[in-house]
Amino acid sequence: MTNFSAETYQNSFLPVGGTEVNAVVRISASNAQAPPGGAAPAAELILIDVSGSMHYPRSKIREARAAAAAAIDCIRDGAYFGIVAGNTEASEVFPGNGELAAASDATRREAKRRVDALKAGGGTAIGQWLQCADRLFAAHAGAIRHAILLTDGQNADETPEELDATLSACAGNFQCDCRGVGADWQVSELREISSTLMGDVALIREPEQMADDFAALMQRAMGRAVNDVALRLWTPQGATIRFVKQVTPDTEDLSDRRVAAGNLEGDYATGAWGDESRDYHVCIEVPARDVGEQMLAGRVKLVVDREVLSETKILAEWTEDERLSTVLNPQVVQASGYHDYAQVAQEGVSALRDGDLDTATTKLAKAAQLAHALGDQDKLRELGLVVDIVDAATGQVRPKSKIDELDMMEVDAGSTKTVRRTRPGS
Amino acid sequence: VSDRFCEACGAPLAPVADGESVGERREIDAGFAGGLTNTGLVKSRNQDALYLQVEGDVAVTVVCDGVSSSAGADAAARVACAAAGRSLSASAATGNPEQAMRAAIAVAQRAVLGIPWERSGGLAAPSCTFIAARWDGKEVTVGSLGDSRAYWIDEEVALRLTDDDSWVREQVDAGAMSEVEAEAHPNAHQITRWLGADAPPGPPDITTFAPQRSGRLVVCTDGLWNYVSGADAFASLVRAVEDASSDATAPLPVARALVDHALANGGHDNITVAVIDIAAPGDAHRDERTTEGKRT
Repeated sequence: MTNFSAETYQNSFLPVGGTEVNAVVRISASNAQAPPGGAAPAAELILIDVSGSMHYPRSKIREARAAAAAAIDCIRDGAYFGIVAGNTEASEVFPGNGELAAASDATRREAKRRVDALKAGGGTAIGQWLQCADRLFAAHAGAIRHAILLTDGQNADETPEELDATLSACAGNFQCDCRGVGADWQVSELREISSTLMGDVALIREPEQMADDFAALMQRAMGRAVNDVALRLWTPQGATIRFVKQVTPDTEDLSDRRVAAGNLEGDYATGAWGDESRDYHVCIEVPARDVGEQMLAGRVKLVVDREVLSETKILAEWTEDERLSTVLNPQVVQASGYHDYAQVAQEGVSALRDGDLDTATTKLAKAAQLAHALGDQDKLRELGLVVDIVDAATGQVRPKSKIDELDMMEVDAGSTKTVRRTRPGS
Repeated sequence: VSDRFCEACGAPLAPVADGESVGERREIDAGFAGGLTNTGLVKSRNQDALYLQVEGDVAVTVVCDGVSSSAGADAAARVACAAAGRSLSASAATGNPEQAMRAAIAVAQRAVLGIPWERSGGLAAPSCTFIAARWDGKEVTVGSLGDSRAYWIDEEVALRLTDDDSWVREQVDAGAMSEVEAEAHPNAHQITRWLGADAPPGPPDITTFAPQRSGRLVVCTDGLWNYVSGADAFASLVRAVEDASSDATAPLPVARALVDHALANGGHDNITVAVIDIAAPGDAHRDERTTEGKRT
């Protein structure tokens, strides 16, 4: 049986008249496994871009075939899977006939044979691919449904409104991790898709890196055993929820996902879980109470199939002692830091693209300061691709004179990735 | 640091002792009105509450039955009962009796909403049934939510003054089952109206009744009427109680005898009974009854 645990990190002390309660709730799953009676049914789709641009350079389509094959090899026996090739339309490469196939040596071999024969040509309408995936998954309602989407270009052959409508229709039906290869796709576009479909987004700089990445994605998907996990947040009468944000493994604002569950509770969908641990930053505004008083400001429960598997409390207590109320909780500081980083890094890159160097410098300087405070060397390295960091601690940066598009995309796509750390020196 | 908090407002909860509440009055003798509440033979706690007060010609009784699938059911019944009772006793004799009843029900609902409670064991928010009767010297006004009942019994008629807000009544009204069939069904004790945070909305049933003859108003929980449901059977029981003893006809002894009847039949639920002897204005027997305390 999967074990879920929930733990709250916070400084529950508020100053006189204080109303804002911040807490990081860490949910950990261990021994993730299917309910008794067999493996958790899984349904996997690989959506490969076969638009004309995948031929340039020719290594893209070749490596995409190899990546799909690597992913196929990671699908465990008995899991259902299929391959969809997308350009302005979606075509079922394997197995066809609107179905998914149960994985076996024979079906994996046949799927790889068909992937190997893929040819590139035509435009890009990602909504069509997602609609096709939605139809294929519909017959597997009880399974953990997951797709990997690979593209190299912008969604040029349908309107943003058409894509939005498709995303709304697909949301909650399956999860989708998005990968962009090369420099011609739009990070914000794929981020919108992965965010709505509870997946992640990443840049693959070189086609040769695809196969390892796809294998890792598929292995992660195969490790997920508990589906449709929701965070349920109780708040007292008179309280307002400022936000609920995922902190690790990616920053993601979940506030709009709330679905009411009774008078004082709401559910936030988090998708399928394997053996992993995720952090959530919860910010609640409560009516101030008198000094010395205490209250329950919130309670986070983990709900699977209407059963509460774990829960943890978020407290508030009022004190006149500023030594208590001014202490910042390291996990809350880190959560805020990562969310602020994602915002300023994305805004900084956007300003760079627009040629607005003043704004870019200000934003990326702030990003460097945050990355330094977070102690995140990966983020500092990424920022170093687009700016010369003179002094990270004080936020002194200079935009590089010549900036590669791929470097800007790496900062952009990487901005929501988080690594759990305590503060340096603590 | 407390680890128990109110499920409504988040305030820390003081430790609460389990068991019977202390100092609760079990019997009330108020002259021409009397009543009592009894735990029964099966339940470990009494989740009924009774309010009964007489002032001059005016008599007020409130009976609440805590919903056992809710948290703090006994507290809900107690606070609703006390709040509505005080409200009805304080309302002017000359005022509109229906308005006074509506106000009392609203006060009782607010009192129940104010109970701190903790979510545990799948229990719902604190809730209770409600019935109140007020005799102002001319009319009886009865307000009800749930399945407690008021009966009127005089020399000529036996009336049930309230309709249950219950699954049984819904089935009977829909023609799906006979009353006998429905009352034998496992769902028989489900109610459709109550007081509490999750109470279904809508105005309460309020009826006014002007007695033509002197008689008895009996208000009771299902702990009694489960054993004697129909108005005629109920009246026969009351009359049998009166006939059985030469001096057991003051309101409190009648109420005691009715409780004993429920206990003799198993006492499966908490039992609460209030009896108000009403002397109708201009009734020939009025003086006789009040001086002798006995019906003829």
